[in-house]
Amino acid sequence: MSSTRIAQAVSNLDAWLDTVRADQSAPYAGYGGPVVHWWQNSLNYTGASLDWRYEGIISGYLTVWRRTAAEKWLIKAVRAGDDLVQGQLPNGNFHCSSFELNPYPAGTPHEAAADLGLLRLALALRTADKGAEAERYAHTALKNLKEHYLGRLWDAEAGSFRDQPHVPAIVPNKACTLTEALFAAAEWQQSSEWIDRYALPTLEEVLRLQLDNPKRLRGAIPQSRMRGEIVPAYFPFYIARCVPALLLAYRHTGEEKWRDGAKEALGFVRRHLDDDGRLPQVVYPDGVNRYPQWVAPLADVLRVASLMEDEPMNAWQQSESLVLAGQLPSGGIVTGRGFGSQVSQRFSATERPDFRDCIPVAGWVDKAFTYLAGRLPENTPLPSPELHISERPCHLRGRSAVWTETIDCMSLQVNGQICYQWQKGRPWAAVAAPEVMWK
Amino acid sequence: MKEKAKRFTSPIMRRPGLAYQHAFDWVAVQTADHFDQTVHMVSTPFHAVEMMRRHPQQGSFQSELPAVEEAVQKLGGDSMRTINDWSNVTAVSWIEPRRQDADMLSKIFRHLPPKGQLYVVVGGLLSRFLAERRTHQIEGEYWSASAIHNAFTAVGFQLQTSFGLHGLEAVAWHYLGELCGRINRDHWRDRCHYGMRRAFITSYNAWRPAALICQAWEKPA
Repeated sequence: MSSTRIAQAVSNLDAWLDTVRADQSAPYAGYGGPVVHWWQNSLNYTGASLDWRYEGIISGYLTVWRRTAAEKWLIKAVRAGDDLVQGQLPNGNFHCSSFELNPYPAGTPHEAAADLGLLRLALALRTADKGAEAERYAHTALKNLKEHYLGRLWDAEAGSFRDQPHVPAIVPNKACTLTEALFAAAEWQQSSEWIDRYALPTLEEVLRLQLDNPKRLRGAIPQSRMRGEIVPAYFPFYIARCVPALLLAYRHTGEEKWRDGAKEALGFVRRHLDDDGRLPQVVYPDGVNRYPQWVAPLADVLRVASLMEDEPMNAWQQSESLVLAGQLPSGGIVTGRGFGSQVSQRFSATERPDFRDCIPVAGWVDKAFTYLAGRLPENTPLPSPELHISERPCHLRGRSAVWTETIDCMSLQVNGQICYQWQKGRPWAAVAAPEVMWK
Repeated sequence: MKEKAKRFTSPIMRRPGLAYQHAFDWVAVQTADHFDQTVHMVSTPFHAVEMMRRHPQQGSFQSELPAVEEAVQKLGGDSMRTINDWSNVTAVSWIEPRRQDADMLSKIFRHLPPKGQLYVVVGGLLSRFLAERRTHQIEGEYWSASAIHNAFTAVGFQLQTSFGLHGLEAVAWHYLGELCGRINRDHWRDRCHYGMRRAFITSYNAWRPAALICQAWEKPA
């Protein structure tokens, strides 16, 4: 893909992210908007969501800053860090950090991912001789890690982190995001104590869950183990998100088992790419639920693949094209296709898509933003953004509809009647007809 | 305003079930643009906490119950608005009304301006299956959906919107999914789960029972 195309895409993503910021009149400033996801949707709550979007947004802006050497991008990373500092609750959790489950704090892995963003910001500032400024971001992340994760979710008996305090369970992808944050915290604190005491034992547990057979599932990591029972659902996206933590463990210890585990995991993901470069949503021992298939989140898998030294990146070219092709004239990238096929698992690309297939979500777009930022050439300023109104024919429960996005609004119309409307910046949808209330 | 919001310190959120999530979100959307002109009438601390979570910057709550008042004050909400203070109130939300609060209805009707809105969440025929009904027991008795309909109509309110949450179709999808799980067809079970979610909102009438019912009533001009 040409660097000019990628630079324009990044510029448009930056401009789009600015459009979805919650304004200061809302209870909290930050990046908001509706959320669509495999598990649940959050179409009603649209306010600032202090979740994993901050990992991608902060990391993306730091990368653009490094690539272009323009201070304004660092300022945007700092502004995102300020959202988290101001949105931290007295007990260390973050306001509305539960992404698709909002409006609730204590979202996992969301708060750990936000911590990772904060620590990357703090480390970047310290490297840039802005150590005093960096302190507050590191302090916020460390407070969350200490009080929430080490204080409430560490299971000393199991030697790993739980997903909820009172349920003995491990969710590998969430545990891996957390261990990434612990590695970053160790770098900030210049002490490997948290790595040795918490991160490596947790990752040992993740490796124990990885499958060697059957061949079809080799390298896969199950979604969770709850009360001793493995949940046999294998999400390529989530398995990819386990890889960076395993690579960090390899770099820290030099032990081959971590790199081998990472390679096997990514190998499982790669083997499930279809001819178009798409991944199925979930693989089970006896079947597959293919839809919805990710578009913007696919960029996170691409980012992970690019971390692996000998990964054949030509295998991923189609996926990169898909991510870029998913960018709307309004600047965001659609989340996926086939949301309306979750039950039937039948999808036709020639028919009108479900309205949720048209929605760009800040907590998915951030993943494309940070990946594409990493593909920018050095020392080249970004072009000016080019945002336009986006109008897409779609359907709402079988009825013809139109999804429209402008700089200040997202809306869904059926027969000229507005069924859904979000005035960007506002914490709640202005209109959400019962048929659009779809969690 | 931010100070108030920061007082939510419960470490782990026990989120309500899907029906209540939908119901509270629906009220939040309806009142979002005039939340400072809305009085929330609630019957348990659970209702108050969930509504305050959705509008942490403001909150006027009305309840005769000390436990509710205590919960609201603990979370930093405005002190309980006395029902005499109706200046600027253009909407009322009433979450699971109690039968013994029925006399409030005529007062609400009298004080709301023309076109004033009354948003009600009430238990339906399947409400006995709601876990929250067992966890957050009310003092007194819930006002039934049919009695509410009769009373609201009699006082002069006009029904604008009515829909049910977690009706029979959603229940059927759920049990079908459980069956699939028992025969180790996890991919089918997940599909059934999304069938349940797709069917979760249902049009409401006496022949289509639901766990919760959401209704918007309007005072005529």
